[in-house]
Amino acid sequence: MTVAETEERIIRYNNAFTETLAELLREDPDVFIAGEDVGRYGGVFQSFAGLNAEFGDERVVDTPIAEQAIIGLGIGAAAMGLRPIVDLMFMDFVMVAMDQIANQAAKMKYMYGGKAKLPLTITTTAGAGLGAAAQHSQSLEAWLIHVPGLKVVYPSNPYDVKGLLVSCVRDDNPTIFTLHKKMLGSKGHVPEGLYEIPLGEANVVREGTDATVIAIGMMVGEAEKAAEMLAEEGINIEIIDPRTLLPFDIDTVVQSAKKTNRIVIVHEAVRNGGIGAEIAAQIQEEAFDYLDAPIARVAAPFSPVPFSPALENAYVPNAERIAEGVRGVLHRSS
Amino acid sequence: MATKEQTKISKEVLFDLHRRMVRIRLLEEAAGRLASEARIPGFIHLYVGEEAVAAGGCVALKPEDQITSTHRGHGHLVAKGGQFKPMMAEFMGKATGYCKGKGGSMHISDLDLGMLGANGIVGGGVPHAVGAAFANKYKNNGLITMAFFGDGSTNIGAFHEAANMACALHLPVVFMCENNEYAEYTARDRVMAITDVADRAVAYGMPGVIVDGMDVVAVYEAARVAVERARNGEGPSMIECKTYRFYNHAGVDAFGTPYRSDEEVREWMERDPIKLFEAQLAKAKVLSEEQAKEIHAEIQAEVDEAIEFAEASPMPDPSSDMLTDVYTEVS
Amino acid sequence: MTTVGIIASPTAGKDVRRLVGHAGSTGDVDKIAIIRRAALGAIESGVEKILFLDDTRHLIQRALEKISKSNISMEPITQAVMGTGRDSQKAAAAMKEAGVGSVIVFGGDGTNRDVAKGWIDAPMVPLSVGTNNVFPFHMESTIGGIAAGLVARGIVPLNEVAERAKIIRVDLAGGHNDLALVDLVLVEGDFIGSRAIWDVTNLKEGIFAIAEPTAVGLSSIAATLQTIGRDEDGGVYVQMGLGNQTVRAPIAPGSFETVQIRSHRKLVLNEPVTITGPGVLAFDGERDYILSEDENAIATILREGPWVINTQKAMDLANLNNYFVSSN
Repeated sequence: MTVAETEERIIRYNNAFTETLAELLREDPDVFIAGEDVGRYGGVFQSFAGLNAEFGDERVVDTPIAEQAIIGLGIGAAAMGLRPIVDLMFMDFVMVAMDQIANQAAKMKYMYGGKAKLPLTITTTAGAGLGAAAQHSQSLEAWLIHVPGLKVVYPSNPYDVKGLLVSCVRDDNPTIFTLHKKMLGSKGHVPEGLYEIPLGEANVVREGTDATVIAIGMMVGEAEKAAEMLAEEGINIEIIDPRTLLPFDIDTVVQSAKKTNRIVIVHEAVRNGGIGAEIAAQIQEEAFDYLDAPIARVAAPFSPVPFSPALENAYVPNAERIAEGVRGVLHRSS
Repeated sequence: MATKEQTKISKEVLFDLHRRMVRIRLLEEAAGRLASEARIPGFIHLYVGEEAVAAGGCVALKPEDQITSTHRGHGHLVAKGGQFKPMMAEFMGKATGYCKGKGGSMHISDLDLGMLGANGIVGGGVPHAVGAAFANKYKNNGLITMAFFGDGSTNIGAFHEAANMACALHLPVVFMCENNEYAEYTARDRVMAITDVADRAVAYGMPGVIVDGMDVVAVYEAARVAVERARNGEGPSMIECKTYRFYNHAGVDAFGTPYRSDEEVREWMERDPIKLFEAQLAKAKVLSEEQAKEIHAEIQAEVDEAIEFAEASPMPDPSSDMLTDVYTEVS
Repeated sequence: MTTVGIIASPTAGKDVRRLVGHAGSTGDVDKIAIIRRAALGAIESGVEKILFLDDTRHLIQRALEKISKSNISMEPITQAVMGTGRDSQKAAAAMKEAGVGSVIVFGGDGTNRDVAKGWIDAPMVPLSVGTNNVFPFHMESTIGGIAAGLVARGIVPLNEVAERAKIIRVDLAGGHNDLALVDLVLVEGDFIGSRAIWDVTNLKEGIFAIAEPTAVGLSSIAATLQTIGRDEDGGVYVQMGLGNQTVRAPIAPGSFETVQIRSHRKLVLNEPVTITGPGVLAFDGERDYILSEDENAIATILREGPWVINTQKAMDLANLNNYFVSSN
């Protein structure tokens, strides 16, 4: 182990979230948190643990199980100049609150002629892998990126959790910050203190030459594993983590496409109408002539998220399937 | 405890109630006329008949207090101090409108006036009132929020969620129900098993009362008490104003429809809140018939001027205005 | 056919007093159950018919729906309903016309006043549905229903179990007259507005036919100075405003106020008192008539009101005759 590594501060993805919230609450008196079970209990995943004790009922607010009103609370308070962080326990509940998210929060600035400023952050948890079945496991980013006015982020590691959350809370637009449930215990380097990762800037996780894998959320880690497997076969892939899904950093992706000429997009949501479709469409608009193979998508099959571990394990894309996807685009002649 | 000087209302307040009602009426009649001549595009939902509710409610507020509104929001904006020129321009989709032509009639608003927006989604604005009230309590600024909504919206989930949350968090909100007996084109008794929305208030944990929504003094009196309650930290309350929409849900037709009888419409029109109030004011020797006419004429001139302004105003430019105001730019 | 009438106020328990004081709320679901219990009581007493006002909320209709029986006829009065006090007034008149034996009235002082205006000597069981009132009884409606039925059937004679209530007859300009059952108060102002009164500094003068210290409302002001029971003849006249006395009185449920008193005196039956405008006349606690400057209203307390059935007496008499007991 090198000296640099021992000096790194290694904490969990979930703790990075909690620590960032605490630091934001300390920094800005206009920041408050509201959501189901976030107060006394500290959140169903303990993502809000200790915050109510430190900041009180006024700033870390337990709400009724009422997703529309939770988002509405955030909208009204944001319109009045506060900087609310409102939590939807599971991303699946986005659908329950969709009117307030898509018809209200997202459109308010535009339809009210620019006067509304909504520094609202919606935090939520996505992803399968915990046996939570069809209504507590979805990744619904595609539903959200369809809505002008929103910003959508999906961190793939503890460092990004902090940097992206700080940017979301400091942004003057409604943002949706998505944690992946299965990554809550994953560890990584997170510096103390607040820092921002600009929204709309992708991260080139691994540089490569043979193909580009665009992966989001938990799929970034799977892509990294796939990269190791493929390296043994002499295939050197580039991995891009968009980090922010809306606005989407198409420039970084197109640059990479022009370099590797082969693209695989990986996400955990179903393939049909997924964010991969949008990314693929944008790439072919910008870099069609550079592509040596059709863009491949590695995604979930077109079914609800199943419960049984046997089914769920087969449902969520993994390193093996990503590697398979990469081999697929490489085996086509140019 | 409830506000004093109850039955004695100052002349200033009486004039104010009257003026705000007449301002709503004359703007709405003009807007209806222009819409039927296709000089205003899109849908238009007129507030005519319900003026006493917006006026009585808003006169009870401080200018800095906030309101949320409905798809029938012109009256609320006028009552909260909205100006005719940017309103009329917005109706016509002009760049000089309150919303730069991007919202139109159904989204008319001026956040600077504490009017947090008309809303095309029934019940959609009520949760925002809860949020604004949360902010008031959080900042301890002494302000309150009044949510206007119709009888129809009390059947939608967002309303229930908001009412419950406001009570659970003990927020300074006044729930102001405009029960006009119709949810769009469907009679209340076809879609609700209860008659009085106020009956629902108790279930959330707040008092609910009924007032005659055609009598602006009755609305104002009740609103003052509810506003004071909210300001004193006594929590939310609900006022159900029994009122009536003179025109159809949308547009300018009043008669000859299958969902309500002409006779019923005429009966309610006889209880016109402005005529009723002007008769009361004349009897109380506060405002004579001549003085009332002068006020109408003066406001009508302002409406006419606003129409001229709006018609002379430029349309927004698709090449430069389409994509502005989607996001707040990072500063 | 022995008939009991039922009249219910759809708006009772929902006015602004829930906001200005601490009055309770009674929703329609509660009201319907209360009415149904009274109807079951009346049916138990053996009446053959229930004639009722089908109000704007269809409260009674809905109360009776679930208890319809083949041997009892339930019939609404055919009349247009407007959702105002006029509905109760017209219904009471129609009940008199139909030969109804007794009327169960659900509502506050205002509703009972409307019934009295339509049928001045109605034999009635006035039952409160929640709001604190002076005139109606706060009692279980099941028993009120039986008592009304016993009177309608003649099992207990009306004149043995009922007394005529007092009224305050009010003669107004143009030969019009009106009445109150409890009190008539002149308040400052020009508007009827939300009807209720909660600012005692606006009170000018009042005539009280009932001033019982156990009641809440404007009459409690008079009761602190001079008690007058509903069965006692006479009344009290009070002038409010700066004087050498103040009283503390519960002018609304839970709301105690200090009221300035200039003078007060006892009134005897049939003694006219002239009240002069400007101001608003409140009948039984509700602003209802704008009295112009120099306009006079002459108020007189008379014992010419409805026959109010004493349910205790009615039940006692029925029990004395073993009405509810059968031998095997």
